[in-house]
Amino acid sequence: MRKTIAIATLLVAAGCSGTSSSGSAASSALTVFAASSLTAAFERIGSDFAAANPGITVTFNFGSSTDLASQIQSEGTADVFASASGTAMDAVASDPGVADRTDFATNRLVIVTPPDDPAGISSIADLAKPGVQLVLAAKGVPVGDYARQALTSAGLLSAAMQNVVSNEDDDASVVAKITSGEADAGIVYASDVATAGNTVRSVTIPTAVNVVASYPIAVVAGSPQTEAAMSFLNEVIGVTGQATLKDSGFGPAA
Amino acid sequence: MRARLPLVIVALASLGATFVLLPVVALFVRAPWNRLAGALSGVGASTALRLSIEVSLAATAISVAVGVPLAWVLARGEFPGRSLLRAAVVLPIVLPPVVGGVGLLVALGRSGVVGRWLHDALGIQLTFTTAGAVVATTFVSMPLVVLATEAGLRGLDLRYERAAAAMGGSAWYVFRRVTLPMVAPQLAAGAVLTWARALGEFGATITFAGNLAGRTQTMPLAVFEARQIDPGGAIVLSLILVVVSVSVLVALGGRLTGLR
Amino acid sequence: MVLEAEIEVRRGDVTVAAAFSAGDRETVGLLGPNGAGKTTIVETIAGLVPAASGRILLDDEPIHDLPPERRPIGIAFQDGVLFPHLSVMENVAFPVRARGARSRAARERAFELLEWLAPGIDPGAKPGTLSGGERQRVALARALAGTPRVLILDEPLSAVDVSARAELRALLRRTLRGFAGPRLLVTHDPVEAMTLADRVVVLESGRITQTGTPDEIRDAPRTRYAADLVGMNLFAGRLTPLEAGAGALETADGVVTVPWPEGRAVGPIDDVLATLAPADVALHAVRPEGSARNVVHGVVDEVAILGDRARVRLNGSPRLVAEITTGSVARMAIRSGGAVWASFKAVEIHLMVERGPTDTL
Repeated sequence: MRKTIAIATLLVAAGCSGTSSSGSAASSALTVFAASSLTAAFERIGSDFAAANPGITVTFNFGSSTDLASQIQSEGTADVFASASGTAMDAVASDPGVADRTDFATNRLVIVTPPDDPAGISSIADLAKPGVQLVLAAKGVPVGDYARQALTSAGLLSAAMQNVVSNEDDDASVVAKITSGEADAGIVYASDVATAGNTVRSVTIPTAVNVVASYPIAVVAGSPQTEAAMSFLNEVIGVTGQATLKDSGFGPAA
Repeated sequence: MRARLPLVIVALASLGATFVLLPVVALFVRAPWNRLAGALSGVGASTALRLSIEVSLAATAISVAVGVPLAWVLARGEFPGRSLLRAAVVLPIVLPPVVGGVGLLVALGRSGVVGRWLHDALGIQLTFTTAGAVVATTFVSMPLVVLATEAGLRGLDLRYERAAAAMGGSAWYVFRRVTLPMVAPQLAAGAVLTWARALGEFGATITFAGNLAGRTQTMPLAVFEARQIDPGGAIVLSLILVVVSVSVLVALGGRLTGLR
Repeated sequence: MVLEAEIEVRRGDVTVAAAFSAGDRETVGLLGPNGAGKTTIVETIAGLVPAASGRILLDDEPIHDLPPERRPIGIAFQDGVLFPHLSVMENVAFPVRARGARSRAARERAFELLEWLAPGIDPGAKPGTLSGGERQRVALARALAGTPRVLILDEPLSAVDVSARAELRALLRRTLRGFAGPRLLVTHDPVEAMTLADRVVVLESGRITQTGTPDEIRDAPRTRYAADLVGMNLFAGRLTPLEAGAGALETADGVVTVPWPEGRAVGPIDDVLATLAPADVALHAVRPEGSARNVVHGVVDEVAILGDRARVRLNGSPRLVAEITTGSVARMAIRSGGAVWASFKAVEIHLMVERGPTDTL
C-alpha cells in the first residue's frame, strides 16, 4: 500500500517537474513524509497551505515514522519529514541529513476502550486486571514503545503484558481493534482519539506516568525546493497550523 | 528434437524470471550473514516458524476436508445459483486479504454477526487466538484447492463413475474408490498451492487474529514486525520463509502432484 | 431367468425405442450401425441412462426402478473402461468389494477369474500397460466378478487388434455359453453377431428393424443394412490342405475351396469360419468356364428384390446367397424353383482362423 503511494508520489513529482521546466518557474511540487498520526491534521494544514500558495502542490506520504525514515534513506524523494519520534528523525539526520529541525507538536498517550467498556477500565491500573484483552502497537513502533514506557513507570508492565493479545503495526490498527469491539483496551495517542470521535471511549493516563512524544519536523537534505519546503514548515509551526494541530488532539511543542 | 524457441519468447521469459528472482537474490545479498545466529534468536524465528507450519497445515487440512466436497458440488451439482456460488468461492482470491480479515471480523469477531453468539453462548472467541489465525488463513487459501479439484472433476471421464455404479458401487463407494483417487493429482496440486498460500498469508490474519508471538504471529507477521525493530532480522526471517517454501514446493511440486 | 425390456429413451434429439427379450442361456446380439442406439439400450438396462418410459423385467420382477448398483447385471464396456488407478486384480475385485465382500474374498474371486479368462496377465499391472485384447479380457472378468444374473458385453472386440480377435472371439463364445442367464452382446460387426449370438436384434436409427436367428436374417434380410452386412455367406468347418496355397473347407452341406491361411502350418485345422459376400457370387445360366475355383449347381429357393438389387437363395452344396442386379435376374430368367450355376473365387473368401496350439498361451 505505502509502496504504491510512494511510487505514485514519485510519478506525480516526475510529471510535475517535467511540465514545470518548460512552464512557470513559480510552480513546484512538494513531497511531505509524515507520521500516520498526523494524517488528519496535515491534510487540513495542506489545504490551507495550498490556498495560500497557489504555485505549490503538496503531496503527502503517511506511514509509520520508522518506515518513512528508511524510505527517505533508500529513495530520497521527500522534501519535508515530520516524524512521531526523535529516533526516526535522528536516522534521517545522519543520512541524508536535515536542515531547520524543530519540534512542532507533542502527543500524549491515552487509553481507549469500546464505548460500552466491556472490561470496566477506569485507570491505567485496570489494564493489569486479569482477563483484560489489551492491544498495543508493536515494539519498535513509537507509540508501542511509549506505551511500554508508561506501563513501566506505572509499575504495571509485566502484569499488563500478560494481557496483551496483539501487537499492532500502528496506532490506527490499535484503534481499529477497539472500534470493532474485539479488544477491551488499547493505548494510543490523544490525536487518535480526536480522529476516532465517539466510536471509542478514552481514559486519561496521569501526567506522572504518561509519555509525551515530541514531533520533530525538518527539511530533508538534497531537496530541490528548500524554499517551498521552508514555507510549508513555517505553515506547520505558524498560528493556523498550531491551531489545527490543537483541534486534532496534539499539544504545543515543549 | 529439442523445441526451437523464438528469440522474443526467450527474451520476455528471461525478463519475467529476472523480475521474480530479483527480490529473492537481493534478500540473499543483503542478509546480515555475519550475525545470522543473533538475528535469528533476536526475532523469535523458531517460534514464528513453528506456528506458521502448524497454522498452514491446519488450514490446508480444513480446506481439503470441506473444499473437496464443495468442488464436487460445484462440478456436479445442478441447482440455481451455482455460478453465483462459484464466484463467491473464488472471491477470497480476488479480495485484498485485509478486506477478508475485516469481513471475518464482522462475521466471527467477538461482537460479529455469528461471533457474538459464539462468544456469549459458547464462550468461544476466535480473534487473537491461534484458531483465529487458522480461520483467517483457511478463508484466504481454500479457493485454490476448490478450483483445482473442480477442474479435475470436470476433466474426469464420467464413464468411470458410471462403470463403477454398474459394478455395484454405491454413490459414496464410487466417490471414495473411483472419483477421489482419479482426481488425486489435481487435488494434491491444489492442496500444495493452498498450503503455499497459507504459509504466506498475512493480511487477513493480522486483521482478524492480531499479532502476538507464539499465538498468532506467523512468519509473515514476524517479518512485518521485525522491520520496525531490526531490518536485518526481517531479511533473515524472509530468507527462512523463502527457503522453506521453495524446498517444499520443489520436493512436492513434481512428485506428489504429478504436474511435472 | 428371462430378461424382458420394453423401453423408450431420449438421447439428444434421437429417441431410441426397443422391445425385446433374452431367455435363459440365450445370447441376444444387438446389431446395428454406429449411432443406432445399441449402447443406449444396454446402458438403460444397466440403469446408467434413465428411460423416458417402459419397463425392464427380470423373471417378471421389475428392475427398472432400482439404482444401477442394485441391478444384478454384469457389464463389460466398450474399450473396457477399466479404472486406470487400480491394478488388474483390483479392477476385477471391484464389483465384489462394492457389494460388501471382504477384501480377501474379493481377491480370491478375482484371481480365480483372471486365471481362467486372462492367464499370463500380471494381476498387479495397471490397465494402461495392457493391450486392447488384454484389457477386454480383464473387463470380461470384471463383468463376471459380481456374480450377475445378466451378462452384457458392449462391443467386446472393437478395440482389439485383428491378430488377437479370433482367439478372443473363441474365449467370448466359451464365456457366453458358460454363463447361466440371459446374455446381451452389442456389436456392429455382423460376423461377431452371427457367430456368437443365438438370436439377433437388428437396430437402425433407434428402431428395431428385424429380429431372428442368424440364419433367418442372413436368408431374408429386411433392410438394406441387414442385407449388406448381415446377409453374408458363412461357412464353418474343418480345413484340410488341398494344394499349395489352398485348402478345402468341409462344411456340413458342402466343400468350399479357400486360400490357405497365412502363417499356418500345413495340416488340418478345426473350427474355421469363413465369410463370402453375396455380391461376390456370380450366377450363370450354363456351367461357367474360367478361373473361379468354386462352382455350385443348385435350385433357386427364393428371389428377394431390395431396390435395384436382388438376393437369390440357392439350395446347393453348399447353400449360397448371391446378390445380383434386377437386370441380371430378368436377363437370365432367374425364378424360384429354376436351376442355376453359381461361381466364386477362393480369394474372395475371408477366413477367420483361431490361432494354432503353438501360438496360444
